[in-house]
Amino acid sequence: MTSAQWVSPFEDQNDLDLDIKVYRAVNPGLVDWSDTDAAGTPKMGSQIFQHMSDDRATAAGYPSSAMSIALSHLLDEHREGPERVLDEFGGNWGIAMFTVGDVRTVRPALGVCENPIDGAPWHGLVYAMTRSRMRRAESGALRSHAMLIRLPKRP
Amino acid sequence: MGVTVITAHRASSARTAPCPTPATVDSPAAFEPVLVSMPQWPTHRIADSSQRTWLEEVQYRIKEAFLLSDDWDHEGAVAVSREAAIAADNLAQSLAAQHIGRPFVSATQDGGIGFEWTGGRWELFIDVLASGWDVTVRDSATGGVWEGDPETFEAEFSHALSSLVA
Repeated sequence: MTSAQWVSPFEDQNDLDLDIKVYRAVNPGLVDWSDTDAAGTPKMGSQIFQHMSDDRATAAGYPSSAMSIALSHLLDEHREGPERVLDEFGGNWGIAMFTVGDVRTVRPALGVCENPIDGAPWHGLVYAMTRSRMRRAESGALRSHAMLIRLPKRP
Repeated sequence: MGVTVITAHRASSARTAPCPTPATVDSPAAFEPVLVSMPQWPTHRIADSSQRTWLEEVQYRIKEAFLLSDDWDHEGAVAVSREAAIAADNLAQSLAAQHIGRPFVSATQDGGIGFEWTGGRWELFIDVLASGWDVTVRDSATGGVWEGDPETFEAEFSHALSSLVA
């Protein structure tokens, strides 16, 4: 669907503080273990930052696909830490962090909204606003802003 | 700089999955049939990266990606298709022959293989799918983005590739 036609069914919360941290689970297979910094931190691949599949979104009851995240202000309200973003993943997954402010710099534009779900009241969504799903342009931009705060375990 | 611009074409039929072949800017190649035999991928990870060309490493990663099952990402991904894996191997060989720098390679959510070069000014993403390629060029300095069929932005695609020559 072209950007001229797409209207996201999600409602962007443009009043979210830009300093709010956004956490994303990191698949160990999507970091480049052959490209590490001086501290041994691998480079993240852009595919860490993408929507869930359309089928998964439908199964979850969403009107459209989006990227699942955890929001720091909601975690704080529940006295929980960013590791809760890994609840549905294995213990070998990592955690990436960026901010709502980072999201606002991405083009094409991305939206952010709180999306509390059962067992995860800190859950949120980041999603493409001008097309049905993020593509490499948006994923690559998020990758450039994000940092690994918990390393995944090397396969 | 003498980099061969690799062009790919969308399949005209959903029932076939042609492998794109490298071509010069002036003479794009026609479709060719899908290879029926799988590449001879490395069977083990070579521990010492100094003894391993990036091609071997990338071929190993393609093989590993091909072996992933559905939902490997826990978010509904589908397994990599045979056609995409073969096309990705062909692309890797072509890139290595042109001394393009090492890409990071991984499975994509929609059953393809993704190649990406990030961190520099020009970022390049090539998603190899059974139906063809999806290319994105991103100028991280200006925020400029070109995406889709690389024939529609050959200059930027060529520039990005040239910037990656080792």
